[in-house]
Amino acid sequence: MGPFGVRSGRRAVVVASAIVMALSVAACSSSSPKSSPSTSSTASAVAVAPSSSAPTAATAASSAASSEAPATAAATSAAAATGSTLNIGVIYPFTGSNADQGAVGMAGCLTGVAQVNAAGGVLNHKLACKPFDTKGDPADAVPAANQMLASSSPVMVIGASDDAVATSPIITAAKIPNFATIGDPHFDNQTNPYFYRLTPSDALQGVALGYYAAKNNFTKAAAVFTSDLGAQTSVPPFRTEYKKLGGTLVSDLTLAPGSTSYRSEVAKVIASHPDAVISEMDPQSAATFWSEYLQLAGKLPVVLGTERTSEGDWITAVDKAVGDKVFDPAFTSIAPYVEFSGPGYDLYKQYLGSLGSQIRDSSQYTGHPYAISDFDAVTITALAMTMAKSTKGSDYNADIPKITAQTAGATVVHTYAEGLTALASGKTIQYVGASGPLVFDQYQSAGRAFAFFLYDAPTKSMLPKTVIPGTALAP
Amino acid sequence: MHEIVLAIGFGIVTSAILALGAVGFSLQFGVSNIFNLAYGDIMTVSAFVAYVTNADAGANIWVSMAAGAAAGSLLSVAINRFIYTPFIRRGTALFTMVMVSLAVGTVVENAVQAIAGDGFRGYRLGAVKSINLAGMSFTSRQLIIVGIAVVSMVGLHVLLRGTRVGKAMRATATHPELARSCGVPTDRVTAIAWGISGALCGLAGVALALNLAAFDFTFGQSFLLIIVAAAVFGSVGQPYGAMAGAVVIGMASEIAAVYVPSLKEVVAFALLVIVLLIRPNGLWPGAFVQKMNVAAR
Repeated sequence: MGPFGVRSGRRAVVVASAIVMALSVAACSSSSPKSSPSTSSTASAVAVAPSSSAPTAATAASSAASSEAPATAAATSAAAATGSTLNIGVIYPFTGSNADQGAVGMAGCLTGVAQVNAAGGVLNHKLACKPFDTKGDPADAVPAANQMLASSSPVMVIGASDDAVATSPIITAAKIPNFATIGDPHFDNQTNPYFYRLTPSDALQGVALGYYAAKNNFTKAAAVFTSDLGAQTSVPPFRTEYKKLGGTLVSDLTLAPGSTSYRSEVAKVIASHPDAVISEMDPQSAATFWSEYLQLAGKLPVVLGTERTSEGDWITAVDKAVGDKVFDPAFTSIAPYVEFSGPGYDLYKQYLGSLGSQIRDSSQYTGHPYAISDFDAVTITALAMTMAKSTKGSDYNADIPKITAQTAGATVVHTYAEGLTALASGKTIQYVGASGPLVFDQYQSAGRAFAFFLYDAPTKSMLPKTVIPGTALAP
Repeated sequence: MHEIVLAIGFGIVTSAILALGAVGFSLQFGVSNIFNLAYGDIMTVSAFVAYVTNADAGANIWVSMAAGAAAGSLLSVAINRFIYTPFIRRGTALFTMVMVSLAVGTVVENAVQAIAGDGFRGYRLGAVKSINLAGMSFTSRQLIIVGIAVVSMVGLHVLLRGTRVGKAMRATATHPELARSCGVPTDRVTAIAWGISGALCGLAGVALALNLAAFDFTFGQSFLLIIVAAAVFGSVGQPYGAMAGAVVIGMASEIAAVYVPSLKEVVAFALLVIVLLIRPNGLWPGAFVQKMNVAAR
C-alpha cells in the first residue's frame, strides 16, 4: 500500500470520466490556440461583452451598455433617423486567447456605425453593433451564430475569423451578407453569393513572405510555424516561392502550439544558423519560443512574421518576454497593406477617436488593417442598402460589389455621406474608403497588396515601409 | 547526441515545473477524492499575485513566488472549505464534484479576466546568462526552479513519512471514517493538505509563468491537461507517482521535440495511454483507487 492506500471501487471509470472532462476543458479553452488566426487581433479588450450561448455575469452588464451607442462626436448635419435600429452582428472570439479578434471587429463596426449614424443612418434607420462570442471554437461558434440570428436579426454580419468555416453557412443561409477577415485558402474560390472576404488569402501571404525573404538576400532561412490551421495555410506557398527564387530552408519546423517549453526546438533552429527566421505563432507560443531563443543564443535573428506578428496582443506578449531593446530590431512582418492616408482613412481615425469608453485604448486600432476593413464593410453595406432602397439582405446583396467596382464613369466617393449625396443625384459610385480600393473578384474576395512592416516603438505597432507590388506575387 | 543531451537538460526543467503542479494536484485528489479542475485557474491567480508583487510593488521574483504560493494556498483552502466541503458532506457523487470544480474554475478564470483584463503580462526580471553543465544548458533561474521543486518534493516526503500530520494525512486519505473514529481531526488534516497542495499549485503557477515568459488569464487552464496527465500517469492520488509521471512526461516531450517537434505532446500522451493499458492504476505500485461517492466528512 502506498501512502494513500488502496480502496476498492470503480476508480477507472471515475478517473477516465474526469480525464474526458479535463480534455473537454482543454479543447474548449481558447487558451491553447487552435489556430493562429490569420485575422487580426489586439491585446486590449474592447469595453463590451458579447452574447454567447453561455454568457457570463461579468460580461452581461457591459454588453447592453456598450454595444449600441453611436459615436459621441462628429457631424450632425444630416437629419436624425427615426426608424427602428438595425443590428449588425459582430461574431468573433470575445473570450479566451483570441479575445482581441472580437475587440478588433467591434472597433471597426462601431466606427463604421458612428459614421453612418452621424450622416442620418440608412433609410431612416440607425445602426447598432451586437457582439456574439464564438470563444474561438467551432463547437461554440455554431450556437453563437444561431443565437445571433434568433436574438438580433442582423442585417449584415462581420466575422468570424477561422470559425467562419462554421458560421458563414448558417449566416448566409439566412440571406444575410457576411463580411469576414479570413485568409484560409479554402475561401479562395468560394461561390457563396452572400459571403465577402475582406483580406487576401493566406496563400498569397505565403508567396509574399517567400518573395520578400528571397529578394532581400535572406538566402538561408528557417521556417518556424505552429501546427494550427491559421499558421499552416501560409507555409506551402511560402516554401514554393522561396525555393523558386533561390532560397534554402536550413530548418523547417512545425511546433505544437501552447507548449510549456520550446528549448529543444529552439536549439535545432540555432544549430542551423539561419540568416532569418520566417514565422507565425500565437502570442503565448511566440513569447515562450523567442524568450528561450534569446536565452540560448544570446540574441535574436531577423524574424519575418506574418500579419499575426503585427497584431497588438502578439507585440505585447513577445515584447514583455524579450524586452523592448531586443524586440525593436528583430521583429518585422509581411502583412496586407493599408495606405493609412486619404479622406476615408482620416474619417476612420476621427470616428475611432470619438468612440470614447466604447473601445478600450482606441489608438491601437489606428493602423489595424482588419478594423479598418470592417469599418469599410459597414459603409459599403449602408451604401448598398441605399442603392437598393432596402435593408433586406436578399434585396441589397447584389449591389455590394457594385459599390466598390471600378466602373467607368463612376464618381469616386470616400465617405458614406459623399456616397449618399452621389447616389441621391443618380450617379454611379465607386467607394474607396479607409482601406483603399476594395474591389471584389469573382469569388467576392477583395484583393489587396502586401507590404513589409517595421516595428515603431513610439506607437508600439508595425508600420508599412515597403509595398510589395502585386505583379511580383502573381502566379 | 549533443541535441539529446541538451534535450535532457531542458526536460529536467520542464519536469520540475510539472512535478510541482502534478504533486499538488495528486495531493488534493488523494486526500479529498476531488478531481479539482479549478487547479489550473488557481495557478493563474497565483501567477497574477506574483506579478502584482513583482511588477507593481517591485519585489524580487523569488519573494513574489512566495507570495504566489501563499495566494494559491489560501485560495485552495477557501475553495475547499466553502464550496467543496458542503457538497462532500451531502454525499455528492464524485462525477458531480468534477462538474462543481469545473464551475469554480470558470468563475475564477472570468474573475481574473474581469480584474486583470485580457492582456499579456511578464515579470520584471534581470538578465541571466546560460550555464553549461555536462553538456546541458541552464540559466540560474531555471536551476533555482529545479531546486525549489526538489526541496518541495523532499519536504513533502519528510512530511508524509516523518511527521504526525503526514501520518494523519495518509490515514485520512486511506479511510477517513476510520481515521476520524481513531481521533484524527480529519477536517483540519484535510485543510492542511489543501493548504500544502495549494502552495504547490501556486509555486507551479509562478514557475510556469516564468518559463513561458509572458502569460494571460487563460494560461493556467491551458496547461492543466498536461499536469493532470502527469498525475494520472504516475497514479492519481499518489504524490510519488506524480513526481515520476512529471519526469517521464517532461523528458519524453523534450526528447520527442528533437525528432518531431509538432508531435512532442502526442508522444507524451501516447506514453500515458500505453502505461495505462499495461498498468490501469498508473505507474506507481499500490495505486489509490477511488470510491464513486465522495466520502462524507
